Amino acid sequence: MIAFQGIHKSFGDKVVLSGIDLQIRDREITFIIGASGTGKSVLMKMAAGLLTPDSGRVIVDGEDVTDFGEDRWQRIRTRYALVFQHPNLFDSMTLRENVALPLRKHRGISRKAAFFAAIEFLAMVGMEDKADLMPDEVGPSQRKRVSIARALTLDPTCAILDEPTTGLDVVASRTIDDLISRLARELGKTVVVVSHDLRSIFGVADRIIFLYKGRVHLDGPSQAFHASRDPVVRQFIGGEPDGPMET
Amino acid sequence: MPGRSLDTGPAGAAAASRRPRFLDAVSAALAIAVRPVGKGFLDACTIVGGMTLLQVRIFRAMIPPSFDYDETLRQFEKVGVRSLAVVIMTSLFVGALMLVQTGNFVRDTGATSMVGWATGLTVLAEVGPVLIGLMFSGRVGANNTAELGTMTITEQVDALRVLGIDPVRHLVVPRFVAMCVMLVLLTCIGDLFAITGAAIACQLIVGIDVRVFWQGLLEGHLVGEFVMGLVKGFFFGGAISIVSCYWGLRVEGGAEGVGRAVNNSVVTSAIAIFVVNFLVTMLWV
Ligand SMILES: Nc1ncnc2c1ncn2[C@@H]1O[C@H](COP(=O)(O)OP(=O)(O)O)[C@@H](O)[C@H]1O
Ligand SMILES: [Mg+2]
Repeated sequence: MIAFQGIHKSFGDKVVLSGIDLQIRDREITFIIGASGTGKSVLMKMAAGLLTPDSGRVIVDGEDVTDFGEDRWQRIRTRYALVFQHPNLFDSMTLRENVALPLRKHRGISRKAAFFAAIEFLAMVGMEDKADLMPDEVGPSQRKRVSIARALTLDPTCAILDEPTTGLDVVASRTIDDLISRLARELGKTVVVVSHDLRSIFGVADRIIFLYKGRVHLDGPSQAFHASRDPVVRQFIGGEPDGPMET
Repeated sequence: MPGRSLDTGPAGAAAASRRPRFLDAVSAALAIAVRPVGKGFLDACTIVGGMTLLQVRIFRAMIPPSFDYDETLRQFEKVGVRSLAVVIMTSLFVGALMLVQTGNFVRDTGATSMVGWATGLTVLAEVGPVLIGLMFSGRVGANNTAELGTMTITEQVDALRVLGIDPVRHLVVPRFVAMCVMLVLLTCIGDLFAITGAAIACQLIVGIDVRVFWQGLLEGHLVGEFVMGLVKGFFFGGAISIVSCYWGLRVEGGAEGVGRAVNNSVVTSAIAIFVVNFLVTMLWV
């Protein structure tokens, strides 16, 4: 369980988050949506201890982790996987080595066994046939899929995916949607997804949280979102350039 | 009276205000002169403090010793192979140069037997390690800062962190180990080539029989100097790895930031080499 309490964050003069209160419930698929630059990625990085809020608390599994140092975060991070918005594979390693690295580091298994296991994880995202290529030999959307596979190697209880389907073609996007459903429905994991992809939002979300102007603007199941008469929400769903929404 | 007071009034006021204005100007000038010094001092403290902290984290990560063999091997190969050619070239010419300098001097004074000893002493104890250290920092240190800097701005370092892998343990420790060991080895190789260069120059340029050179070198009992050179190489390797990793891991702001960091890294490494060289020599003799 991750909870954000009264989170404020500014970069210089730019206020990004101004009082975020929300709780991610276990075993649910929660989608975080909102216009670009509203601070969704910033919020997700806070859940992984890469950024600290200016004020407010971050609670993970009932523990206040806001002021945790690097050492104590290391422990939590093996249970909470974060896939970055911009794929960040280790560019000096093959795709297979990328996926095998966390296994070798945390499972204490041999290179050979880790390489073998890595293939299974690559297969989950349909990348097993490219295992021995370097990251710069495949496209950005394929790198993104591999970074999802890498994040799942440690069998995290919670997976945070920052725009997993942005830049992917429709077929690949649906593969990721299926993976997200499977993680939650079959494997009982908590999944948090930042997304702009309406098809995946309305296809798989249990709950949708709409961020606007640094705050939670709407929070509820997909149906509530569809039914909402809020002009800003309607504009976001409709994708109209003109409307009350400030970007 | 009213006229006089009218006369002195503004003049007095001007005099009264002139002094504070002058003082203001002086203090403003002082502030302008001192502020960069103060800021520079604070920056230097931040940098030295940050590097010390990194060193502490390296040692903590090495106990118990848990190396990433893949990464360490890769670093060994990269560090060694990258710098071998440049070390050999530099050493050959510097050895020759040292001999030409001392050779001309001893030939004039007639003390030709000194030539081996004098060249050996300077090459093994001072010039060899320092020059090789500087070449190494320009080649390997700069490259290392650029590599870690790129990893930092492309969030590869953050990727390690979110996978529960300590970047210091995974990235910095292998580089630290590789650079310490490799710089000792390279100093050995550099010594060898510098002496070879000196021997060649002795025979061909200065015209002193090379056997006189060898005899002077061997009778000079320079084992202590040789070992001191290796110790220096070890500490230079440590210093260059810490400096270059420090700058690489704190890069901000894109490619431009990487460029700045590489620059800082090379300058700081050079300073560190001279400081470490001074300290080791002082403690040794
Ligand atoms: N490390 C940082 N330094 C300065 N500004 C940042 C940093 N990270 C994010 N920002 C700013 O915060 C705002 C929100 O960014 P982000 O969370 O990436 O938005 P999004 O909702 O599209 O994911 C952006 O304006 C961005 O420029
Ligand atoms: Mg984002």
